[in-house]
Amino acid sequence: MASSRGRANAALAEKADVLCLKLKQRQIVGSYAAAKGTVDLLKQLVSSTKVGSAQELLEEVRAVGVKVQEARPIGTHLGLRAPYTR
Amino acid sequence: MLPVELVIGNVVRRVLHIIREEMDQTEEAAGLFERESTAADSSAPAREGGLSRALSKSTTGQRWSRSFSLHNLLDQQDFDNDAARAVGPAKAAAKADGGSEAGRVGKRAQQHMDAFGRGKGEAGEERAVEDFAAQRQAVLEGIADLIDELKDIDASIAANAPEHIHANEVVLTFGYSRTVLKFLKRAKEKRDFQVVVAEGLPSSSGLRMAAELDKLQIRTTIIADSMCYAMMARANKVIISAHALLADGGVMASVGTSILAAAARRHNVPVVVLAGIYKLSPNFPHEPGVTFNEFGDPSKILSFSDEAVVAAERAAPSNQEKPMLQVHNPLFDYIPPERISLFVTDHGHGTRAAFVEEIEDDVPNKPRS
Repeated sequence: MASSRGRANAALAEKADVLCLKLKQRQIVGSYAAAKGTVDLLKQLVSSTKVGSAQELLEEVRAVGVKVQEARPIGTHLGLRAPYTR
Repeated sequence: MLPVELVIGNVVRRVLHIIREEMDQTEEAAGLFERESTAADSSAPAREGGLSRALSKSTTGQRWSRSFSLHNLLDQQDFDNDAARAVGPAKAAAKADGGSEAGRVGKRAQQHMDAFGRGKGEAGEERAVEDFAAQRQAVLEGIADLIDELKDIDASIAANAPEHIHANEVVLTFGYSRTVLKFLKRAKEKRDFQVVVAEGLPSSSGLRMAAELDKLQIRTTIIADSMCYAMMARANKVIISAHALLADGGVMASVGTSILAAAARRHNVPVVVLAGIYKLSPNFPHEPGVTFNEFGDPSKILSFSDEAVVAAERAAPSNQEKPMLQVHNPLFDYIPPERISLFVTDHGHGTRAAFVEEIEDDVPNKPRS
């Protein structure tokens, strides 16, 4: 996965990082804004990435998608389960 | 790590789906091309390969339909499968050389390639490159459609509004939601009704909602969250928007909506959930209080400089490591499916059962036994 990520050009990687950072810093709030940001990024990825086949494109999109999604993990490390379980 | 923002995954899956769809179509075209060639050359073996599989697929009608529906929304084949199915004939041969998981399909494809592809190999490769350029264009168009869909999502949902809100009804809603606001605005164009807004602590976004509704000349009453139950007897309908729809038919919505839904259930008031189809996730809430939830800034509830905090600190024994006073600010509530009466989406409306049944067979990440 790391190798396919390497193929994406630097500008795009930077944009992905910016999106991740915005998600982490809660500058992007809400499901609509998150969806919009992600799909805009993926559009740029598809149009600018240098891959030779659709298969590689799939892998590329998946790698970036995983990265963006992991910018907002569940905060289970907070250990705040007790009062809020069923 | 489990994600909170489930829609990111949904959108990525949609884009992957668009790409796969284009791959399948190209493959089909390649299959037709090949059938013609093999018809001319009768010595070619009968096949079982990936390309002919694409052909038989189209005859059995399993091919992805180009139109978007609930059926194909969550389709996600195994990545391995995709790897085995190559883009064009030249690619199929190349993959077969590489061995690996493409092997089983590749062998038959290789025979083919030997039968008709020799000498045409270079032409095939050129074609594959051209194919990919065309595919990329088609994929970009697909993504542009997806962006348009997102852009118009609230309007598409609001288009259903006149069917669901009747004259002189009392609608109860919770906090601020752009989707609900557009929905009510659209309904107001047709008829008069009243809205009761729960303020939605700790963000108190309901105040903003009430102000916006007031601008639309809708009769609005604002209540505290704790008054939901008391007001429920007067309400005809509860309308809320969702953060994400989950695979069991339940919903993640802003915190406080769960008691609202419970109160509605007690009074047999229908609960209508507004959500774009892009929020429909294949994830299952195994522990809804924790999974897909998130904790916000506790100072929104109790300021760090509040005297209660200071007093609690002072009262704590000096060897105590954890604070005596804890402040939690969970952002979302899970509403179980039995408390939701109706979903209204940009693709019409339906009950939970209808939605879940439709997606059940297609959920890609089903836990494997």
